Amino acid sequence: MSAVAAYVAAFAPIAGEPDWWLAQRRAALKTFERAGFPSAREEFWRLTDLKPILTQTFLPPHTVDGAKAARLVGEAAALVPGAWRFVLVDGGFAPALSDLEGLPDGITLVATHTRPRAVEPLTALLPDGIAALGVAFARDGLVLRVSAGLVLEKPIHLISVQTEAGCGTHLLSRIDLEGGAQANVIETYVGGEGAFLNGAAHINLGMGAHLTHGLFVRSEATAQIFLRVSARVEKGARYSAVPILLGAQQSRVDLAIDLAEDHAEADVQGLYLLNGTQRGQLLTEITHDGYATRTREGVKGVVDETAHGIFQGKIAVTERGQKTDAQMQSRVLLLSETARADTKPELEIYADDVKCSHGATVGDIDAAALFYLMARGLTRADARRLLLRAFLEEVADQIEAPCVQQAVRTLLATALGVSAQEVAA
Amino acid sequence: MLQINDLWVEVEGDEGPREILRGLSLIVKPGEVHAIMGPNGSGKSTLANVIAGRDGYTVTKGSVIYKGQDVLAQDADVRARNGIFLAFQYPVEIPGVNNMYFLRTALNAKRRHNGLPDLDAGAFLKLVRAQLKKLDLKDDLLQRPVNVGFSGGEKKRNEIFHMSILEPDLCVLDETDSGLDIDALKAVSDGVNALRSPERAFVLITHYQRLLSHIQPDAVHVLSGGKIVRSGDASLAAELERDGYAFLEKDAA
Ligand SMILES: Nc1ncnc2c1ncn2[C@@H]1O[C@H](COP(=O)(O)OP(=O)(O)OP(=O)(O)O)[C@@H](O)[C@H]1O
Ligand SMILES: [Mg+2]
Repeated sequence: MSAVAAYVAAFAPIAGEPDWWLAQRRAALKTFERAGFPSAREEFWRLTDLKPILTQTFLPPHTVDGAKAARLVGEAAALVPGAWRFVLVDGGFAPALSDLEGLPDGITLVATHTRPRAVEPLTALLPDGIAALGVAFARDGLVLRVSAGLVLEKPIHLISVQTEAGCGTHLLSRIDLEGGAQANVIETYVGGEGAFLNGAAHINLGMGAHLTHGLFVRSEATAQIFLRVSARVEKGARYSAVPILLGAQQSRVDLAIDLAEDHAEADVQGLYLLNGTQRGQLLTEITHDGYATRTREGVKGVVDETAHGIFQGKIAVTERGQKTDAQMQSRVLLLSETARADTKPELEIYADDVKCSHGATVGDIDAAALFYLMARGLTRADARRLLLRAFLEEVADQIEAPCVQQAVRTLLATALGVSAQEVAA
Repeated sequence: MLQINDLWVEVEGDEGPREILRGLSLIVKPGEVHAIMGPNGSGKSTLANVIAGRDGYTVTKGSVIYKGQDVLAQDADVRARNGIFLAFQYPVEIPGVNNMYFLRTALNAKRRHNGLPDLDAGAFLKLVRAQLKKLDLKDDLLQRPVNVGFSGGEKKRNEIFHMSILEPDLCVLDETDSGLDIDALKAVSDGVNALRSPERAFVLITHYQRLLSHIQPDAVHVLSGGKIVRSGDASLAAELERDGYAFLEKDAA
């Protein structure tokens, strides 16, 4: 049986779901059956390793390993202290591991299965087979709505844990900030032994709203993590995305940001730190469709051993995008002869009065700096760590929201094997 | 302390390997200060780098014995923890690495190597404050990234500051006096003199006799064409200052 046929055979109604939702899932399954998986001939899938997805069927999980879930959630929760915690275990909302105490009036934070209407923008538009598969097998996700003018004091931390090996988890989420609202939402992905995670989120930011959105991939070394975000940014609103690719065999984060109205802003500060045979891929497509919109995008990568880091960044400016101001920067360090990095910046501009720039460098650790540190007594390993940390910390420095910035510093400290206390020093 | 025997060193240039040091020998005993002078490009920094263990040099012959051990096979960090210190001719700027944090890491690496416990942040700060004062260095240089945005003189003083904290046994100073104003030269010299002891030795690479009027050397050597062509006492420096290196050509002729 082909992978596609195996998915079709595994499709089943979910207890308690509304009929119209089951019908939508079924329709998405049909679309998936027709479209199949993306092919490596498509530009945005060319550098993705599709083999694991094509050759294996990641069926829905059956049993949850409660002890593993609790442990992984505990570890992940420490990243963002004092947050409201929204936990998904093997794709389903886990109230017992969540902490939503004291949410103020004017904020809705619920599981997608209780409000599937909220994710209709994701079911209406199925750009490819993987998106269709995600809708067909969607169980849960997060639905967040913050009413106008409300500034959330505490961050929201979505923790997605996969406990069952080799399974597929599909998430659909929706975030809405009404005019002037502000929130920090961090998503952390953990677990996922030999498993597949396929997450999609739609975001709408009303006039003057500001969302900082962390996407932290820390999954196990055998996981396949595919995340897709589409964000619509209205007048004077700002979307700050912080994709951090650390774990997983393969992680793929795809951000489509529509600066739909005047003075809308996108801010992307991303990084990947890869080793072994890992592959990390960050794709961004930012469309400047309003007057005087602005993008600041910086991506840093460190690739060791035979890992492969990829950044494909597209900036599109429509005829309405006069006075666009967009800057895109990428810097990568290759730590071994066999490490590989692909950086593909792309500008597509249909307005004449714009300021767009991009720059990309690929290099090695600075040998003079390394010698200087070693000549003062630091071991080669310590000296390298210090230099890598300094290089990557620049990403954290650019993040405005203190809780997200701190979380990134903690992540880096853990990933590079230095204590958080040292980082603070 | 340091014994260099018939050292031959090549670097890989654009047109194949190039010999820089050609049979250099030098003996430095504990407590001594040796000055090395010589024209630009004669190989002084190469010698300093080879002693400190920088990559990119090929030793084709000879040995560098430090405290009775040939160190040529050791990595730079091992030599540093064993007490070799190089004050760089061009100290490297390292963005994102805090000067103070780096120095504490370096000191603790050395302490661990010597079986001593780590210094905590408080004790370290105390030590550092005292040294800063002696070298007349601004406090804020500690909180900045290593050498980033430091003036030329501040960079050199920062090298001596590192040296004072790490308390090495063999100090190799590569033109630490170049580019210093009169007060800075005095501060650097005082820093060196404060460290002078019967157990510690110095190799001072310099172009100027001025430094040597602050720090009395036990011997002065002239490096030219990759080896030491003349050695003498402190008066040799004064003679070179007066007459330059013209004698080298005469000797060659
Ligand atoms: N890595 C290298 N590659 C190629 N040539 C080198 C390298 N390092 C040194 N050299 C050459 O070796 C020679 C000696 O250089 P070195 O820096 O040791 O001179 P120096 O005596 O310190 O000079 P200065 O007084 O100007 O500092 C120079 O001609 C220099 O260009
Ligand atoms: Mg030199």
